[in-house]
Amino acid sequence: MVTPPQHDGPPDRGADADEPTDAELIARSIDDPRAFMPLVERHQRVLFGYLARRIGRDLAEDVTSETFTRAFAQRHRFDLARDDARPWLFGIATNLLRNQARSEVRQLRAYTRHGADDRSHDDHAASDARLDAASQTRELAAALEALNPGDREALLMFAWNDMSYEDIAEALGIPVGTVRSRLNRARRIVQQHLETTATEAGSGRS
Amino acid sequence: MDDPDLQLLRTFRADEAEPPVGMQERIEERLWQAIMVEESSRASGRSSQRPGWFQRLLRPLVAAGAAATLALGVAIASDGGSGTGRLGQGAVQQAGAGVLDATANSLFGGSTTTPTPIMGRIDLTDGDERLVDGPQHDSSGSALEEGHADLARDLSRDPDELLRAVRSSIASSGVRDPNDAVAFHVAMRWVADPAVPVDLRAAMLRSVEGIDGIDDALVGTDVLGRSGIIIGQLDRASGIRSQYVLDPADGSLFEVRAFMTAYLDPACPPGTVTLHAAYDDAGERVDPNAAQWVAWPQVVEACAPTVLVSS
Repeated sequence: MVTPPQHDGPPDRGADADEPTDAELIARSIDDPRAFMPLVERHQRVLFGYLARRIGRDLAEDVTSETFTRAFAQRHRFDLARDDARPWLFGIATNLLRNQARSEVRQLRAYTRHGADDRSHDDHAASDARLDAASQTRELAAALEALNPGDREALLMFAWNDMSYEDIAEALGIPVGTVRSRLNRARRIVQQHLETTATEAGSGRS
Repeated sequence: MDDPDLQLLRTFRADEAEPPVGMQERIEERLWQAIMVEESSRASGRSSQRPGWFQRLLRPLVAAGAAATLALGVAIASDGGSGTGRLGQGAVQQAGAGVLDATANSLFGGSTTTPTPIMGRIDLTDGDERLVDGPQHDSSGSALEEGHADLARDLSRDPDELLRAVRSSIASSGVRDPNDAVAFHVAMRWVADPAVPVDLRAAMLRSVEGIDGIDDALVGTDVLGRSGIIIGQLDRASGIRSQYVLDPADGSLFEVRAFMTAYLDPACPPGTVTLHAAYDDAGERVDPNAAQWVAWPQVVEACAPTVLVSS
């Protein structure tokens, strides 16, 4: 059973309760385009982190930047009933990512080869635990590559961005029920892949 | 999270990639461009309904009673006035930081009490046509209007205070976005006004150094080929560089010009001139039709920033 994460509110909002919501900023920006600017500071970090993991740092900045530019151009379409612009921004980013499918596959294959972090040169810091984690990361990357893109998007938004079903549904433009089924399918495949790998590794050792 | 697969997935993202240094600024810069394109587009839609942005800038300012003068001291040597440059073509050299102060001293002297030789007047409250043309010097040598003269006498000669007064006056004048470009134009109009006391002109010129985007003073030529001192400012938001070419002998205005420096709008590519006027020795605006041997720039007023238009 997949448990949706608990949300205390949009990330990167800051503690100031007087700060306008994303929706308020976007509403203002219709007449005063400059009101849109604070959204960059609020959301660029989480967008970049997500994109960098998916397509690598080199492309992530470009896609992050393009996401904000398109969001600005499309701000008239934003649903002002929603305070948080993050799902909307991730939706735009996801559409852009679809043009980068090859880059994502390359990134996942790089993880498969090297793990998420290139720390193999750090001999002193290396430990059995780290090696195990690196191995698991490689297997995870291989499992993610095996997923179909729609399932992978839903799973990574859920796991990496702590997005609710509703937010993922908004970002991907699909019903909540479809999000649920995609997540279940994706997780089942990942679990099976990891179990199979663990079994094979155990057989190899014995 | 309890489930091992999700734990692993989150470990995968735990060492989250830090954004590259300066990424936010780069994104914001790109967004600014999109914003300016939109604002420029809105401006184009309104351009037929409004007079020049400069008129609207100055009129409420004068109504609010602000005055400021800048003096241009010339520590920079003139090239003799034999230049044949045209707008955007004149050879220009940088004079170095802090030159505005030296320039102010050289042009207007270091004294704060020297009486001003009144050479003409600027009637900022006159009709739109005259305002958009810039300073109009009265060849009869009449003094400042009474109200302006009092104001000029009473204004502080401290550059910082003057700049604050300029900003304050702009803010209270109804200009929608009282940014540094507006402050620059207002201050420079007073600097270039020969009817303003020279010590006030000098102080105002020094105050300009506190405005964002100010260029080092330059030596260059105007559209008529006259060599002058160029005081310029780049408005980063609009990509427009504005320049005042001043007579190195007395700081009177040879030329005012503004042009795009960035590609923000296909309709206003870099090099598009958004403001231009040249003045003869008597302070009268030179009529392009009467000086057809000169390659006058074509002014695209629609490309002027709407942020300078009062609401």
